[in-house]
Amino acid sequence: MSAALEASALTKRYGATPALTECDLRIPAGHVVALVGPNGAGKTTLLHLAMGFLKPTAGEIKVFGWSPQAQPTIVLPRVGFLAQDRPLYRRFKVRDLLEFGRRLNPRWDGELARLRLERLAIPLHRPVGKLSGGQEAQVALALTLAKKPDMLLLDEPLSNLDPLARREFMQVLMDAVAEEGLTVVLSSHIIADLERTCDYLVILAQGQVQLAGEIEGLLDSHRTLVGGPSDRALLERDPSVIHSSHTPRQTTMLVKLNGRPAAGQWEEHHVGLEALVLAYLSRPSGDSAARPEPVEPATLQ
Amino acid sequence: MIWVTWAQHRREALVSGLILTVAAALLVITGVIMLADFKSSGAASCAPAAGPAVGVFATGTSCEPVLGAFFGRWFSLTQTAWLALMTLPVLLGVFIAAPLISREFEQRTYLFAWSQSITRLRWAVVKLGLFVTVVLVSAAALTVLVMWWHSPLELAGHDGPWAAFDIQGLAPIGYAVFALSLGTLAGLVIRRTIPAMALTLFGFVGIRVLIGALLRPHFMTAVTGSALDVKQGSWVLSASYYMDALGHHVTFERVNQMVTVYASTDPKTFNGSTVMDYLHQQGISLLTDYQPPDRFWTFQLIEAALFFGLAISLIAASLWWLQRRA
Repeated sequence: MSAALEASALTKRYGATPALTECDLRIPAGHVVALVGPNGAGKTTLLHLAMGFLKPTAGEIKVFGWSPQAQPTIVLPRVGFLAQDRPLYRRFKVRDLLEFGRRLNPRWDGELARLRLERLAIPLHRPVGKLSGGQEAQVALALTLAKKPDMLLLDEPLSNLDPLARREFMQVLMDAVAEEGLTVVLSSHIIADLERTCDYLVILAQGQVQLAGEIEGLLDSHRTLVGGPSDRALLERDPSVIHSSHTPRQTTMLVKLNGRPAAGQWEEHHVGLEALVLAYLSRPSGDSAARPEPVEPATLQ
Repeated sequence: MIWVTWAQHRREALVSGLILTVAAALLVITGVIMLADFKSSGAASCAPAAGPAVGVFATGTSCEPVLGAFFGRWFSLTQTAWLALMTLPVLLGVFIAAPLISREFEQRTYLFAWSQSITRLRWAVVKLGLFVTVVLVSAAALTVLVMWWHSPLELAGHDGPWAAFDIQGLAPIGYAVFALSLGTLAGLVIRRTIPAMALTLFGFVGIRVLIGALLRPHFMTAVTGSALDVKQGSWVLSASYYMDALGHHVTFERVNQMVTVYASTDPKTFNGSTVMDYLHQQGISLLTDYQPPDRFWTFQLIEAALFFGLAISLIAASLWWLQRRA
């Protein structure tokens, strides 16, 4: 069975600026995927490539086995896309946007969208520009779901929403996922929002996939080790050490287990999603000369 | 997609419709008054009687002051209307076409539009096709009205249809479609509304001036003929000049000298009409370059073909850009 989203050696440059470099990724269908990475990591570029809005500079991307560029009429009806900041025609009334969707999508389920919005007490006769931020996000989500897609691509869907609106948004999203068995790819740099809802993790940084897999498995195969001061140089050469931090008295490392147990003199802890993501994001980028600043927890909340 | 385009642009459609309705109403009202004046002042009976060479026939006849006065009465209105009608395509390009796609980029709504199940290409083709159709139909309708409105002036004036070359015939329809396609491409490539509007303004005016002022006089080689019997309704391109039998230019000073000599040697026969005969005997003729009236429609066809050609290339470029950029 073909993957929901598959990239091989996918490269995208804007002029001389690389956004994605030789990216390999395979997301099986049926997952709720957290696509995380710092700003500028290439998350939006990846999603736009998946929608066919951009043409790869090299390599290829496939959605359910089809190329979004070559077969847009097959890919577009199957994928619901919510762009960053959820752009909508703000002068349109909610009702007009539903009509807009009905006319441009063959698999449209307007009744379902109407019911969802009515349940949220969003007035259909009101122009979108006059709704609250949370309501606007709900309208955007309802329109995306009404397309009856097999996969949803959501680019920073929770940005600029207050905590209540975030929770309601995720609530509606997860209900839809439960009802319809969608594949969802959710990009975010806020890990806390994703922890409860996602079962698959893709970490993107510096235009490359740093880590991808089912969250449960990933957490099982990583450990935090705490021990006395140690030889930094040695640790940094060991590929199983993803990240280490040092104080004069102790060394903390996040390691990949690779099937073998951790060395005995270390105190071993299970890893949380946030710690895992942070470790991968602040990892030195191999032989790349331009080593980026480690991502501070602040930017990841 | 047609409904979608309408829903998205009905505000522009209503404003444009309103402007066109007001323009048409003004043309009808002033046209009816002008036509009544044309008949009651006697200008109408002068014009058809004189046939296609009104000016020549009218010179020195009782018709001359009648036609002159009629033309004078309506001159300033004609100029105003000419200016207003020439501005319409600019407004179309700058305020409707340039924001058409650039605003979608600025407000990022193109992402919403492109996330539906139709391809970008179809989105653009239907949207543009609809705009082109509406512009073609309204420009054609307005031009027909302008031609009716202008017909009395054409019969009374010296340069006939040429005076209103830019507002009648096929050319104005070409200008409108060109403005639309230029604005669209500018918006698509620049992706920001204000710069796209500026580029459309300067690009449109630049191309119009280039073709209208520099190329149009040379669409066909001008006729060189006696300045005294240029047919009414001709487009006179040059000031009159003297030329001798060998085809060399003769300066006004030289002609003045000859006239002075003639006046002093033969003062009895010297008068206004014998001077021309005298100069003619000397092999000197007063010439001018002009485009005769029967070339008007050929010129319209050439001008329209140029602008339609430009418009088609720009639309093709827009669609290509939309596909290539992605």
